[in-house]
Amino acid sequence: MAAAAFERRVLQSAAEHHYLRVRLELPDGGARPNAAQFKQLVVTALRELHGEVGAALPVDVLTYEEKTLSAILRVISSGLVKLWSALTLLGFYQNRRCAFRVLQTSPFLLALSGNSRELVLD
Amino acid sequence: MAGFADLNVPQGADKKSLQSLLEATAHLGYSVVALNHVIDFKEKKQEIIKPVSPSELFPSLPIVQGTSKRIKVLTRLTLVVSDPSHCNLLRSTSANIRLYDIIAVFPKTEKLFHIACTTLDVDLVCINVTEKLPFYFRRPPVNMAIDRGIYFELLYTPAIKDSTMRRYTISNAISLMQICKGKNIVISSAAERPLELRGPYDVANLGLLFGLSEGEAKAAVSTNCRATMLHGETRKSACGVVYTVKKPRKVEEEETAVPACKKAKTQA
Amino acid sequence: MTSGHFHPQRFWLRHPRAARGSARAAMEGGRVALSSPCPRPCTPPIGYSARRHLPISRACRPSAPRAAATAMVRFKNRYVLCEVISEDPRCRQCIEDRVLGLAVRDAITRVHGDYGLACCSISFTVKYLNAYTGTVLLRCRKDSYRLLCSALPFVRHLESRGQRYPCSLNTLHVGGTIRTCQKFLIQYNRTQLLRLLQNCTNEEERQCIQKSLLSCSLTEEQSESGDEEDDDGTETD
Repeated sequence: MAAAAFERRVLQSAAEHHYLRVRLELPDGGARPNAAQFKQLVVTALRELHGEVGAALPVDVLTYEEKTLSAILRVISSGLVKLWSALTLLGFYQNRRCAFRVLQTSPFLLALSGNSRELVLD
Repeated sequence: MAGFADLNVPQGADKKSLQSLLEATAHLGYSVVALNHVIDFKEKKQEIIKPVSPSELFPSLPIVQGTSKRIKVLTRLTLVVSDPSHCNLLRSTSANIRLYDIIAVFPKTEKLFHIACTTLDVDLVCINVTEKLPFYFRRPPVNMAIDRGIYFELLYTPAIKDSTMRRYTISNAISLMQICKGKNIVISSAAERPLELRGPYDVANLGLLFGLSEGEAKAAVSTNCRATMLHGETRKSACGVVYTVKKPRKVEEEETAVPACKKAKTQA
Repeated sequence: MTSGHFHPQRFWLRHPRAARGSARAAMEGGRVALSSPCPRPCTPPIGYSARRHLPISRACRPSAPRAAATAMVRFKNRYVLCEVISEDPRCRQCIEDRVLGLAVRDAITRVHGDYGLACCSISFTVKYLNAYTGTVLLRCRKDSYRLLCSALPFVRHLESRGQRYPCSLNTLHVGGTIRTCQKFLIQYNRTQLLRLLQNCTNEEERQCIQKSLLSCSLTEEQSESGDEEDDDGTETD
């Protein structure tokens, strides 16, 4: 019986989209944004830093929890640096100071489900 | 890998806000923080006071998220110089300067930038990000600074606050990158509130925006900061810093007494 | 009233490309020495790398390339030649470098945001303006000329003294030096004059245009096609 021949294929930067798990930190008190306002905030951040070209990046908010203000964003891979830098440099939401914390980022959505940094070992 | 460090946390007067700031940095993952005391000679002649020891200020330091160690707090002094006579303070043998862990200088003119890169005994040279650079960077002083082990510091908090500052930050950072090719850069915040801080990976991504490569950008937050701290330690000791690691084999008394250069001659 | 003129610059003593060639020749010399057969493996003396005739550290000494001409690596610029097109004849009069610079910066901010403006404005100036023909020469860094060129179609109007004139910018040529843009501009003006010649109504205009067609060349005139110097690569302004 002939041994099976294996071929190694390396895919570099083959993923089309990148996924980010982000959390918006707002000082207490004050209205929390709903999903549409959250997306508007992300697009505003992109427009401020990268102009119309940045605002036209296809960014999707896959999930959003209003209680914890955390969301999963999907962006096309070539726009990851633009989106991430725009979220980092965003300072104000409705004249209130805010901060975006990017918790995880990965080319695969499944990888966002487990976070080895917050793993608690018994 | 060197832990992440934030080398510029302004030392405000309020102890409680400083404590909350420290907790925020520890939560974000920074292992080392340097409390910055800024001296500006333009206002009036100020005396350099002894640095406040962190153990007096904070009874208990918070634990860095992701590790089990406490955050390390260093002291740092920044001199804003706009006149060559202000640099004399660094050359004086005042004892108080020696007590700071890191010394930084913020030159305001081209001549002072040249002096800071070539002759002054500092660890960091701050690059102005809040206004248009009054002078262009030239390659010879920047290369001399790189050879001497001096790092250039960029701040990112002004970019968060204001749109024009954002433009100046990016513009000045890109001009610096074109001259120094991405070496010897340290990115730090000058955050006064916990909400102005950003996580270490976010700051490394900002380095990508300034034109650094991925490895250089991450080094700007971790490895280069550690090198700066070691450079500061060399000022307290004689020539250099050597880390020794305990070797498992037995070493005899006579061997350690004779230095290696003499040993070669006597044995030959 | 032309509001721009070429600044006389100093000549390069050697052509910069020859200087780069000399650095390459030095490297080639080193490589040729390596290919000669070595009788036995030998440890190189201290201070010399395995390339026996080159001292260590092209990597350790990042400062000066071995080119003889300058110690400083020049910054590479791109010069964008554009034409202002507008229906309003008063627009031509209000073309000034400050007005145009503001309009272009505003367009870059709208299209590429703070990052684009910061990138492009490192070495951004309006180098040359001709209010009669509406020709504009802009300079920017080589790394960011794409941001500038992609934002030029978004210039909608020029604003001066409270008045807004709708106009648009038409990119004619992107070159690495002022000289190439000059050469292109002369050819372009020649074709424009030919076009005007066809639309001439009376004989006098025809004579005028024919005379200027015959006399336009790179070396003769003083005003627009005269002093041809490269823009100095090192920052002087």
